[in-house]
Amino acid sequence: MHDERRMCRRCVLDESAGDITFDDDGNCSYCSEFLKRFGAVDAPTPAEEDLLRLVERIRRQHRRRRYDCIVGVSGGVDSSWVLVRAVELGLRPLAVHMDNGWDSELAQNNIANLIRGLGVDLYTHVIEWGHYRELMRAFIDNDVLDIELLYDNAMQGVNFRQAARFGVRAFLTGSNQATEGILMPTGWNWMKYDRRNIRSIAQAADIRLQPTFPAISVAQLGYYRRLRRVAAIPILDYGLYDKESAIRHLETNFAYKRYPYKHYESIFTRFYQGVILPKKFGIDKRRLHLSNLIVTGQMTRVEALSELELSPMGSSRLEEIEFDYVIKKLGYSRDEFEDYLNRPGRPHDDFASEKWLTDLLKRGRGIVRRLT
Amino acid sequence: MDRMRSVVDAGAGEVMVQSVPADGMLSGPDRQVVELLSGATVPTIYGGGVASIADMGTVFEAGVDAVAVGAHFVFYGPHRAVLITYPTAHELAEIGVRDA
Repeated sequence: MHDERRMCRRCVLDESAGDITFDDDGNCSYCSEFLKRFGAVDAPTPAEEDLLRLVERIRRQHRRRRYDCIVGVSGGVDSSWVLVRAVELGLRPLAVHMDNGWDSELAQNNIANLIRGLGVDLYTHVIEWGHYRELMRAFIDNDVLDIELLYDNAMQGVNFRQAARFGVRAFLTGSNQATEGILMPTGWNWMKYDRRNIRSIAQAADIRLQPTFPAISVAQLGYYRRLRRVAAIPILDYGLYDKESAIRHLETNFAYKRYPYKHYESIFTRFYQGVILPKKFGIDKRRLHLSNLIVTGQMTRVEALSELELSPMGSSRLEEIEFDYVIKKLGYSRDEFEDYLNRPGRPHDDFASEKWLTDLLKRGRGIVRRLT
Repeated sequence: MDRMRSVVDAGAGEVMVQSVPADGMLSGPDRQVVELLSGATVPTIYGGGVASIADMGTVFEAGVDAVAVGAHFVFYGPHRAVLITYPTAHELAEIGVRDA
């Protein structure tokens, strides 16, 4: 359907990425920027020794605390591996999980096996499903793109609150350059600390954002980062993160079950990336992930292209089953949902937002950097 | 005991007793209730307070036929995290439960 889009010659990103540009060789601005930033990823800048120094510092900081660090777990490979690494490095993590009602059974099992196997403490925040559902419906009815903003924002809120509650300053995250270093293309998601946007979209559907919903705003993020001095540390960027051997280690030692594809630990995320984004917004997130694997030498471009030939949901039968499940859980009829998929999207900044604040802070930091 | 006898006499084919004080407390099974059930003439189910696989073993050893478990399967650790888990076939075999 979008075959006429120009595609990068090095990776597989195409013009569905908002402000993509191509150089004379046909290579795109996204993978070029990544390569410029990180050079060869197999020689990462912060090395293993830096990691040991970091771990020492974290332990010193938390000598009198019950936990050394917070690790958010989803049941996916990256966060599972962070938890394993934290324990291996001698840290005492508190694992934190937010359940939004869409955990796959596989994810639940993976988390359970991991937590019990490692013997670490777990804190879970189960979001009230009725409210979460009405918020999701508000996002869908208003045709905005980033429905996952609800989960991603609240998840961060839960993590930072638990960090503050236990006086923990290290929040280890699974974000990593090796598998997700290329920047998220403009227009593929929304700023994740935009509580005002969530509230405003909810209001447009006559829904009041409940105080129990653990949303986090830019100001609150600033509070946790600056005043409570909680730092998000992408621990997988220290040393080489080899995802495949991480999965094998998890499978052998923690009865881990792998997912067919990245982020498929949540039924909704799978449906969002497999159906809503491609059908309604013309975005195939696999392009970004596969491009990362290409530029870091973990996959050839030919392999990536043949993978893109397959349906984003894996099989049409699976798509059919999941479609029925998801619309039933959200309370839509098939016609209503088909209508939604065919309607054009509506931009997030049609609603009140605090993105201007992060833009301003970013610009401010840029100016300070130039002056100093 | 009298009450249980009366429901059995009235034709109950199976009796389940839930110890309300122990319910959700993870404090171990209520011995009195377990004892009461062990003398029954119909199949019995005990529920309340079960906090470990060993607790289930204790209830079975007393002669109760089945155990109902809630909090222990749902909550995990000091923060009462919601983590739904069931005993493995291996763990169940250790307390003599097969074909679960």
